[in-house]
Amino acid sequence: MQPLRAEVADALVVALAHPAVDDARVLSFDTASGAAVLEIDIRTELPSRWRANGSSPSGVRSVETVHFEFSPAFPSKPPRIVLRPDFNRSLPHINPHQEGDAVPPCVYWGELGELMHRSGFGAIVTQVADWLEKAAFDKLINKKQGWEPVRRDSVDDTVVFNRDELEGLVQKTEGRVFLQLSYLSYPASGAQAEQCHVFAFIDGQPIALSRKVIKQHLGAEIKDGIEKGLSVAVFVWPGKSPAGRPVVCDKYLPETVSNYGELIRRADAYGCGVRLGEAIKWLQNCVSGLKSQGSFPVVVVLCARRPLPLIGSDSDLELIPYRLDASAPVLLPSGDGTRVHPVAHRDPVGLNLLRRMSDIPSELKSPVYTVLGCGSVGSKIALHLARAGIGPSHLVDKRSLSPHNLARHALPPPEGPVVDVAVPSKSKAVAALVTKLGQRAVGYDLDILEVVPQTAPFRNIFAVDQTCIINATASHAAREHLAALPSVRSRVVDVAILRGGLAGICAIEGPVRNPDCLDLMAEAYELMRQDSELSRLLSMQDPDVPEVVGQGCGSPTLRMSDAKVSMYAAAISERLVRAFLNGMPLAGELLIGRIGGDGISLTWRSEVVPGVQVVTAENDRTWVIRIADRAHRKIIADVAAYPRIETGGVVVGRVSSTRRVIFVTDVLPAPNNSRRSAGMFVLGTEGVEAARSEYERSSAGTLWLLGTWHSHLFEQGGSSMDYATARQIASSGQSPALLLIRRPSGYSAIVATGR
Amino acid sequence: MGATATITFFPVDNGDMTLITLESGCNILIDCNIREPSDDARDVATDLRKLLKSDSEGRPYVDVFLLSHPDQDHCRGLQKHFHLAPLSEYKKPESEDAEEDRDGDETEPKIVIREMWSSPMVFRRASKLHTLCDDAKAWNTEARRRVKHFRDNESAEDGDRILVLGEDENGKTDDLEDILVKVGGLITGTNGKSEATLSTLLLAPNPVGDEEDEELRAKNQSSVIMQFSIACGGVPDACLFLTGGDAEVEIWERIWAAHKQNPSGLKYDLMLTPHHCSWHSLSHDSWSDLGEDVKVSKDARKALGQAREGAFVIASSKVISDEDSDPPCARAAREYRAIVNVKEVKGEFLNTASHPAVGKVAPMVFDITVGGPMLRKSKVSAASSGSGSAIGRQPLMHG
Repeated sequence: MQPLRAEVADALVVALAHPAVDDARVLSFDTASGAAVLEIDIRTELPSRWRANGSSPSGVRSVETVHFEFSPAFPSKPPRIVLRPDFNRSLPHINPHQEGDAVPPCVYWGELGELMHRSGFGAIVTQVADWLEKAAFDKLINKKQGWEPVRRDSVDDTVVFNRDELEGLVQKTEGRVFLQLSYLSYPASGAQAEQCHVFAFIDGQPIALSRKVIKQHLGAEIKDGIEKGLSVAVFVWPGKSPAGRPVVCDKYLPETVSNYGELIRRADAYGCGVRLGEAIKWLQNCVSGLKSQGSFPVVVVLCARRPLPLIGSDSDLELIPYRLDASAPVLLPSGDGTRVHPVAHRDPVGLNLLRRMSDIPSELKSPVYTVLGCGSVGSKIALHLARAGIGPSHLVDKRSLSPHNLARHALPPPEGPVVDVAVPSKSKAVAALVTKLGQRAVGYDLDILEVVPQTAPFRNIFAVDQTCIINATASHAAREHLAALPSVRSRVVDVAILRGGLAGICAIEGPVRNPDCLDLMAEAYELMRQDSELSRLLSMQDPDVPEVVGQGCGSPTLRMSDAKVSMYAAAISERLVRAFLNGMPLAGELLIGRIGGDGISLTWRSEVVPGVQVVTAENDRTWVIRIADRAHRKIIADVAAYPRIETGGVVVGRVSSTRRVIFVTDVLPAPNNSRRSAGMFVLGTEGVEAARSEYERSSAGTLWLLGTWHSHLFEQGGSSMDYATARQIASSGQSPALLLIRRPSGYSAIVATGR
Repeated sequence: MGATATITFFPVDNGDMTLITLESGCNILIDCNIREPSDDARDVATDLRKLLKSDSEGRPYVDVFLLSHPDQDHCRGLQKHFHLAPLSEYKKPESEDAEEDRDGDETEPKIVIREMWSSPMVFRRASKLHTLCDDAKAWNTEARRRVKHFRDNESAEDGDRILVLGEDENGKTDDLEDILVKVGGLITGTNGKSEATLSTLLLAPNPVGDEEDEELRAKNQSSVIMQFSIACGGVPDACLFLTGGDAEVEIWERIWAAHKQNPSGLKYDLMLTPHHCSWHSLSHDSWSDLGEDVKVSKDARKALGQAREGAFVIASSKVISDEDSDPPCARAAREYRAIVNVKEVKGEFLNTASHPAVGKVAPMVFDITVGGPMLRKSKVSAASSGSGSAIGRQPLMHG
């Protein structure tokens, strides 16, 4: 005789050594295929009296002989486990099976094969032993967790419906409705190739079915062996007992339904059999006038009222779907013997499902926000967040999807030929995807630089009550524009990837937009300047030649892989998730990320950026000076050190000349040869030239020496001497030149231009 | 609902040490035999401490310590591990004061006994038949202190409480009504509080007075015998636990005489064999002298034979062998097996020295369930099944 296959023999050895196993034997094996069945005696410790009695009240014996059926695919696939056919099948956690067959327990919440390959065959035996012990005490359901729904783990058919929608149809008295079913039917793979599996969707809107309209609700076409069609679903629910109480089914019935007769009996057990009978009778009446057509699926959803809410739910209604292999003009070709298959339910995609999967609280109020720019970064962030159930409300991008966009984008390639590619605007295409994820989003193909905020649709895009506006345009013009628009009240989150993906920035504006996105960009330059590596990035030249994306067409975009964009987009999305969960930060926030020398490590530096001091120039009110907190604190400290004489120094920063805004990022201490006195402050020269060239080098021209600051001991603005000095600086070529004055209670400023 | 009630038998060789823990978390320790840990002596002090809770001051405690009788193998380790003085004198081991008092390497805080359950033996002088070990003397001193505290105050708090189990001769216990439990009486609580899931029936010791019973009064004959009835899941007598210290055959015969009309007080789902499976609890004959000619006392066997369906009988002793040592006595083990092997019972006889295996002992734990006591399996990690590797556990020869 051939020996047992080695892998199965190993399993037998493991079983025999298992502490819960009394004995184990080979029941049968097939040398040709390698299939085998092991009989394993598993001991369950029972309390004294049950032990003496031979079994627990739930019918579990001290020693249960369990069959482990090893297919030829073992050990790639785990053995199938079955208990004796007369095992108590009213216990929960039993897999679907035919009545009279050996009882298959559901011993593990996940894939048994995964358990076996992680922890060995012994782990499966342990799992069976634990299952039996719980079964002995009838504690397979943890009633504190809720009612365990009928197992559907090994079921191949799937139906998607919104449980809340269907439960909303249930009334106090028993009832039934017809619903529209759309389905795909496809051949099963492998050994069951002659069978079909069905993937179906039930629309929650009841339909009125009659002989006249039935044709509208039935029909299918077959393409590439896949049948795509419409059919109907029947939903039935229980009512009240003669005593007036709701019919509750507190008995767990494992799935054993395989034909219509059994389905009706099962429906009777749940208290909805009569209605199911009526519905099927009516459906038969409707299809009886139709010409002969092949089999089509009818999905029947039974509703059982349980004594306690279902696990993970507030509802005590369990919806149990089946597929009936119907036909026309005879609905049930084999009468009560017509085949019925249990079907697994799936929640439809939507906020609740996405949030649950993403560990986002379902009760979170949906944030309202706009994504400006639906290029690679914007589209990825929008979809990352939408997949977490916190997608954007508005998406803006003026451009259409171009073939070269497909190298880096969240949008999938279009289905049709190339000509279709440019059809949808990027924003509308991304909005359509967000909508498919069950969230409301509108795309606008608009140029935000042309925005007139008080007109529709800009009122939506810049709505006051938005959580934030995400600017993913990577456009300096857009950033300037957003900073300049007084009607934009929502905090802007500015995101950009720099220099071919070597670094990335996420700048979150502070409360009431202070600091704003331009303050934060100036701050970013200052931080990058201080860091030797990042400062090198600043000085790298933009490419002279734009990327060629077609004959005569250039794109200002840089070379960078989709994956690299994703590294930044993913991290920024996570930051936004936290902001939506925990609230926007209490101050401005600047995140600078960079990829390490290995090309894969992304590290982020996070800086809290307090609000800036805002000063209007006293000589020209169109100029605004915004003083970073760093510079402000240094000025205050210096003034405190010289309370009775004037002091001062050099101010550093950048200028937005189009917007007439001067950003002061820092101040340099007064040169050593400066002179301080009660009447005046004279800024010296020592070291200033060196500081100037160091700034030019390290900031690559993004920050420079803007002018000077000095203190006044009294509440007065610029003196004639101050004005003369300002003009002197401006005429030297430093234009505009800033002369900042620190008064006891605030600032004054003089801005001089070379004109 | 709280945790499952349990009864734990610690492997303490020829000795007793049993912990009852109720669903409420309240616990009762019956005897202790805490030897110095060694290859042959499991560190049961650590086992016990893991099962105890600490009070708000960080002091570990038992709600009740029941000393069945003051023999060394029932109270060994008492002074070392338990606090035997007013709570106001409790010292934490980390305090400098305690440093001086510390015995050897003992660093664990002492265990507070909130309520003592003691036989009235503490009121007697040592007799010529009966010399007390130091731990027993310490118990007596503390018990007398608590009785005096009660006499002085007529009430007591945690750490001062005591119940006296059984009346003493000569009326020495007459004025103790509130803390005296008479034989046949029920205790329905612990530590001054009522316990919904426990009622305890006192079966012995009976008061003995006349001189003829001097021998009976000897230590092993004065053991406290109790039937604990523990409720679970609405079953009031889910587990009946009978324990009787070292009581010998005469006592069991007397008890049978008193209960044979209605033996419900002797029923058990779980019984600790008296005197570590000694033959002298079952017979007047000497096993070492007569061997197989010994006769079993019918009445004692009846008293010890009221096993309910599926009952477990536990011998807390050394490994039971065929040698003519006693206790434990192989002949006695045979008798107990016969009690549980009848088809009306179909129970099991277990020995603490071979649980889960000889040489690898661990506490024997029973979970109290609606179906009676259930022996807890030692948990085995899934991956280790079948991998009883010798590597690192024994020398491995390589040629």
